[in-house]
Amino acid sequence: MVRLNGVTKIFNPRTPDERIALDDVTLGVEKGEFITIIGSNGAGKSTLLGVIAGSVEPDTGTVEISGETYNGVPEYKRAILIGRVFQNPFLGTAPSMTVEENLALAAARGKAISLRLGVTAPRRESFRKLLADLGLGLEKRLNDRVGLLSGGQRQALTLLMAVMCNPQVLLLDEHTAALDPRTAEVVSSITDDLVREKRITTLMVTHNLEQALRHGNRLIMMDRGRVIMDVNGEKKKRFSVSDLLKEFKSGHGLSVMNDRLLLA
Amino acid sequence: MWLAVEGALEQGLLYSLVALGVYVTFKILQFPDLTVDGSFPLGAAVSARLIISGWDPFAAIAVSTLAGAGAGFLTGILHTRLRISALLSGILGMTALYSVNLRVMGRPNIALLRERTCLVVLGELGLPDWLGPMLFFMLILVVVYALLSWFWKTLLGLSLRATGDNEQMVLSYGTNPDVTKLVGLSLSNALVGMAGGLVAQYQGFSDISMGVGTIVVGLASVIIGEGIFGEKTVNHAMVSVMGGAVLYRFVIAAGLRMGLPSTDLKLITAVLVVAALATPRFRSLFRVASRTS
Ligand SMILES: Nc1ncnc2c1ncn2[C@@H]1O[C@H](COP(=O)(O)OP(=O)(O)O)[C@@H](O)[C@H]1O
Ligand SMILES: [Mg+2]
Repeated sequence: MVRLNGVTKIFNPRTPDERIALDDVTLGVEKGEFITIIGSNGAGKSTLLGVIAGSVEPDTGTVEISGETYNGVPEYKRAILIGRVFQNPFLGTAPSMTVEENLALAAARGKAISLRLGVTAPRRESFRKLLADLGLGLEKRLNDRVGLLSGGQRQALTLLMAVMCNPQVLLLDEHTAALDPRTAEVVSSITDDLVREKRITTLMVTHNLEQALRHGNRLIMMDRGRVIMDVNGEKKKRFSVSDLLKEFKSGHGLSVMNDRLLLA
Repeated sequence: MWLAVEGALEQGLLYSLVALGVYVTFKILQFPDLTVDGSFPLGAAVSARLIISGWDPFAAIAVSTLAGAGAGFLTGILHTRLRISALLSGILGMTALYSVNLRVMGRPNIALLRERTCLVVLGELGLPDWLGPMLFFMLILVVVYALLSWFWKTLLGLSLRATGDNEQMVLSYGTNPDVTKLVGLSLSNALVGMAGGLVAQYQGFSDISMGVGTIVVGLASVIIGEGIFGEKTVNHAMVSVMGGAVLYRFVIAAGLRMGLPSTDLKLITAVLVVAALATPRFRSLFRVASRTS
């Protein structure tokens, strides 16, 4: 479904600020896989997702989605294939527009340069149903500005919008990190439901080790721009937080987990 | 007295178009576009030139509108293709237009006093002198308002609004924000070009320097309008902004009657905008114009 071949990305090359964000990463993602990604701050997790989404152009290596090479294809042209949710709830929605107007744009993914009306009566009905399924009462707030919603409500709405047109790949970048623990839990379970229901191939970055173990069927760990661990299937199911920490410290000679990760 | 009220109202209606144009860029797109200082006199120059060449005055307005759109489009190209900052793109557009406007007119000003303008045609309809222009300008505003109000609900209109709100979201849902910016800048300057054409016909002349400060007048109208009448929805905001443009004209007319020299108008307008932007309540309404953005 997604293949990265020898992808390297260096920010500010040949300057004192040089940052090797991705260091010769090769990764194959099978259709229907739900991968959780962990790693310390600056390990390259966001850059990895960025390279797939097209917001970051790799220096070397190729990016394939559904068997086609996407190097050099701008982000907005890949958007038909990719759903994306960021950590910052403000990046996913337009705050001065209403809930239904936001949903209308998501529903028109890739076809929004058009003079058709965004919200029509039948579409409003389908939005209402989708929102009701979230169980957050948003179906009663179709005409509220999104800026009036809480962070959790906005993230849930963004998730719904991201999966609306059945993208091939869903990229979640610490999308529950900015929420309080209870709301994070709600958004996590909505994520699980949506991913399972739609069987979307998903890559989810999280700093919460428990979340990384509980969700998905494959787990990768990144450090300094490399994938340093990759487990799936039964092995992943049996993994515990202490196994993960052991994995970190042993074998790779690394003890780079930051406090945030350890304490999460 | 009545004459002053009538004049203020008519000008307020005309400058509502400028205010709407500025609203589209500054508020909807969050793009501080200064092209309007050039596209307003461009609209005027085009109308004046066409009318003295024997064109129908209404067709001249249409061409003024298109010319304005073209000016906005070119500024948009500077910004989106050549990656020049929003402010500088507008300044370059406006500066280039000064020469263009001179070329269009062939001289620094054109008088239309004995020409067949829209107002002359309206006069021939037999309406009273004070009523004809007012009705005509109101009709234009109603049509423009209705079209814009519909446009904001279309997918393209929604994308345009989202571009100002959250460009990442526009990208994420498969639209190139460069396209929506080009559309927005063209739309804004089309409205301003139309206003320029109408103002030239209304006042009976076009002058190369008549565009100076258009942006500040537009901003003043938007700030006054939104500050006083509110901005809950786009439709609400558009009505407020038009109200602001009319109110602004009344304030100016009152100032003139109290003996302010007309040469100080621009200074007073600028002070008005500065005072409004220094007020926290107004400031929060105006992200691009204030430094905290
Ligand atoms: N746009 C950028 N400009 C410069 N450096 C960047 C940029 N994006 C990421 N980096 C650097 O690349 C490295 C990897 O960043 P990132 O992928 O965001 O890590 P993570 O998401 O795992 O915390 C970091 O050292 C970061 O400072
Ligand atoms: Mg990150």
